[in-house]
Amino acid sequence: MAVLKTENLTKVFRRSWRRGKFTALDNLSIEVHEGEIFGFLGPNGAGKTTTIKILLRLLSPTAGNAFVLGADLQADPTRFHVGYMPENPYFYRFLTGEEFLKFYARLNRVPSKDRQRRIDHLLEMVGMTHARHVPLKEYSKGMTQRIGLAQALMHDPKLVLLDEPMSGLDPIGRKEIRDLIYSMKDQGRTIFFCSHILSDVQDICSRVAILHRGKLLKLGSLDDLLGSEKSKVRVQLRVPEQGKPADYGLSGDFHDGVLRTVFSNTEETNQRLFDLRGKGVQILSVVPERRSLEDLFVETIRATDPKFALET
Amino acid sequence: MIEIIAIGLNTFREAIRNRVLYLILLFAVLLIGSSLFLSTLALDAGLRVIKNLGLTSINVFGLLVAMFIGVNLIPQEVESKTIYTIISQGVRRWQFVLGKFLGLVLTVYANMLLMAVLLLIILFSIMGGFAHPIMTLSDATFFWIPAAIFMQLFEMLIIVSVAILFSSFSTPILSAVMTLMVYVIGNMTNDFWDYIRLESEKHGNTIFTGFLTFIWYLCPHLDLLNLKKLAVHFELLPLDQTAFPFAVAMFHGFSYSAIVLFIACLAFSKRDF
Amino acid sequence: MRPGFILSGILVVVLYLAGQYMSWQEQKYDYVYNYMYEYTSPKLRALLACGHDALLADLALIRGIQFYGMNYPLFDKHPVQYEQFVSLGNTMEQLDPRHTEGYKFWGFALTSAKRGKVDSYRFLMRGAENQTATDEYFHAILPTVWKLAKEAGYVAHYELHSETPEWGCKAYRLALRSEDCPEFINRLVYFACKEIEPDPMPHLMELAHQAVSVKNPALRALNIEHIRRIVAEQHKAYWDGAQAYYREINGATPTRLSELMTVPILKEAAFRYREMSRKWFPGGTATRLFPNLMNVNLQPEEPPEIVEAVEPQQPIDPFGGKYVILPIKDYKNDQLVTEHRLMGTGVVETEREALLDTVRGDLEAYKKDHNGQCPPDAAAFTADRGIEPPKADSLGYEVVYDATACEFRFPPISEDNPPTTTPYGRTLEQMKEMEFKEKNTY
Repeated sequence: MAVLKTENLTKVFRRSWRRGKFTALDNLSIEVHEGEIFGFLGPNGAGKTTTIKILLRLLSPTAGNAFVLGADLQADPTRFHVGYMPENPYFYRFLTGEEFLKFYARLNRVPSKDRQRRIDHLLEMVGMTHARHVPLKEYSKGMTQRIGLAQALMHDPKLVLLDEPMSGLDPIGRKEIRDLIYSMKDQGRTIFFCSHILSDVQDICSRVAILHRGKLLKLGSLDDLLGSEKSKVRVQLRVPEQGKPADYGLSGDFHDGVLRTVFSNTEETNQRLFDLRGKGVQILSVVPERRSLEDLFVETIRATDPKFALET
Repeated sequence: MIEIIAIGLNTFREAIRNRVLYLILLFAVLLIGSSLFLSTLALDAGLRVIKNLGLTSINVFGLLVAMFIGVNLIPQEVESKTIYTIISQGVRRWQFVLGKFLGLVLTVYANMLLMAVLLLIILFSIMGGFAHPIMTLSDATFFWIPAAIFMQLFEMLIIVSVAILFSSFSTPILSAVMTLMVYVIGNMTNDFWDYIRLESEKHGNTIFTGFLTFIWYLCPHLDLLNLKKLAVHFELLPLDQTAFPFAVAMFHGFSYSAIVLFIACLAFSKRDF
Repeated sequence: MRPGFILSGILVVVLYLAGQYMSWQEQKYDYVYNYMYEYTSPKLRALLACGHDALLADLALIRGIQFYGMNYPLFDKHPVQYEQFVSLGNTMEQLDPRHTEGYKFWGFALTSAKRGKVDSYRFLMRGAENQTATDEYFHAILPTVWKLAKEAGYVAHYELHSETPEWGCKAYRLALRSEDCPEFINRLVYFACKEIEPDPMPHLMELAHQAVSVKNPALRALNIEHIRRIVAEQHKAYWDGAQAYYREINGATPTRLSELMTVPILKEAAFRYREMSRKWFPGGTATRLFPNLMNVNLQPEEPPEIVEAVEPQQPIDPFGGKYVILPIKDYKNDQLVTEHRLMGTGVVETEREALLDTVRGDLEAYKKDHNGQCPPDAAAFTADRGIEPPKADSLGYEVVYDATACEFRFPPISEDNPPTTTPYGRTLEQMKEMEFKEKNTY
């Protein structure tokens, strides 16, 4: 079942009469399935935030339609429950963390007897119990992100939209956020993850969409997108003493009895390593040289946009 | 309704922790307090000065709070992206606008109430309390001064709703200027009407007077809600003659802010972020 | 577009239009402020005050006080300073046309310039007239109106030395219109208006009324003194006439009073007095103001009515003489009569009469219906007429039906049959305490 679905979503901004119109989104059609972590990628200005704003009804689309949790965005004005954490949030400065969450609890009509329990639970979940009475203006960036996540989960949404949740965080902060996202997935939520930091996405997302200048370039599961190319395998071997790589039919970078070489695909690697072990060659490491998402991203964009191709 | 109240209370809580508010309040208290010294300069008009300065402070600082805090409310929410989270949690836009209005009204009223209490304490201590258990002429002060403040509450209702309207689609500075304009024009409507009448008597009905008349019909008639001068002269007006104008004025404050808020909701729900 | 949206839209539009329409009507036609501060043209300063004009008027007053303190010696030397000061006063007037203290200050300050005295009078009178502006609409004049008018009268009298007698007279007359106007203005009016209105009669009537009705003995004495003074003035006019005639016929001034006491001289003097008073009235009728002065030897035409003095009957005091008898003013046959009544019975007697009046007509009607027979008891009366007779008066005496006399009546009040309720009147001590409080309150 599609938790989120867009059909030919288009948004054209009318700017000043001199600069004409600007197409922020161009016929975007994606579908997010239940229970997955969906990565929504693109460089700055690709239309990621515009898409999210349309999904949150903050913008009205020029053309096309979208369905969130089965509700038609255009026709159906009923409440829907989507958790959303904005990019670089800058929340009410003068409220404490607990008051902030209490406000959202009231907004979501959490009954007053459950309110405190729910807030305690969320604070514990994002690990902010120690800072519950601290005003938000004194929070660090990571703390703000985490309280933002707690806010997004207040009404127990099926779908959570995260806009750049890891930007500007240190490695520990990133790890904490990543763990939180995993735990959210374990609770059965669908996560729509929006980022331009590709390593984060590669680690957690099961499916991704790549967006550039409002156009959808690639859409599919991570394995499909990356595994569709033939991947090489990088191998380190220790050749027995007085032996030479040529004796074993190997070539490559040989130094101090250690040979570094590359096999062209998985079948070849299996076959050759099996043979070599029989001949007394020690295997030090086998690393599949998988293409990174970054490569794919850059390649895809270069292929479609001549401006980027010219620059490098 | 729960959403409106939640947003209103949150806005109120946020506003009363804002330093700008305390700065404004400090100035108001200083001004009302300074009336004690100013009153000694005015020979036998001292009591009058205290009353006038107090009523004016309550009015002007109420306006300042509405302007400086009010025009920032919605742009600030957009800037800090809290509005995205609020709307994503299923709050309708008109609920958001009404909630903000409620919060601002609470803030302004709390301020005005504080200043009013201060003014009444000063007046009470100077006039030596009530001279009689029954209301006599000198005690009419304690009827008319609160009455004037009460009418100012309705005036602030209009001002706050106008501030919310402009801030729902415009920049803070422009909103502040426009709110001030509405306050000024609204307080001139009485003389404005005389001017239009005079102008059309002199030159006949021209496009200019037509335009002015249009503006006159459109703007809030804050003059009706201005009892400041009356309260200071404290005439014992017969209620059967004044009750109707006062009721009309209060109804006007209520209905005008209602339509302004309606337009604000409309403008805000059509707006792209 | 959902129906809720459209409905709420229509609702607020209707509310808005109703509110606007009503306020337009108010401001255009009926609203009180339009009349109170009637501007002939929109004045810029008042316009820019944005509803805070009363405060700005106060600030103008404070500025005026400071300006006066620094510049008043220059008012006669440098006309500019004086003009500025007057302009500041006009600003104050435009901002708050009813600023009593402001008018008073400018009225005082302007007199320190030589040419400012007329300005001062006009300024004060303008202020007083502005304050009476509510008259038509509220039928009440600001209680402070007399202060300004009195000041204007003083300026006309002392600063302008009554050069224009109408001014002072007009000012005091205006002051008298105010309810709170003190009593002494009454006496000032006579002197201010003497030259233009020499007829003393209306004024004497006014003073006599005051002397009778005022409670304060000192004030009463003042009024009577004043009456005497006016009468003495008239005497003087009369004897002046006699003296003048004596000089005309004898060519010399009289040396003794007895020389004037001859019939022709007194007749001529009376004639002259009457001729003088003839010009007081538009019809040219001479006054017979002091008949006994003019007809000294004449017998009264009608013998005076002689009434035998009767000791007033005191009401019975059911409370044992502890409560004082209070003087009560009442209108009887359109005349103010002061009666001494005991509060306990006097009031109750009236009340009893009123109570019994309610059933008297019905008793008559009953008799008419039953061939002149009286009802056997109160219950029969109630059953027939459907009216309950009064139960009791406020002292607690119950009403009794007398079948033989065919009337309801209350038992007489006496010390043997004391009332069950507490008395209305006060003891002497209570009265004294009350008077003491009243004195200390004002």
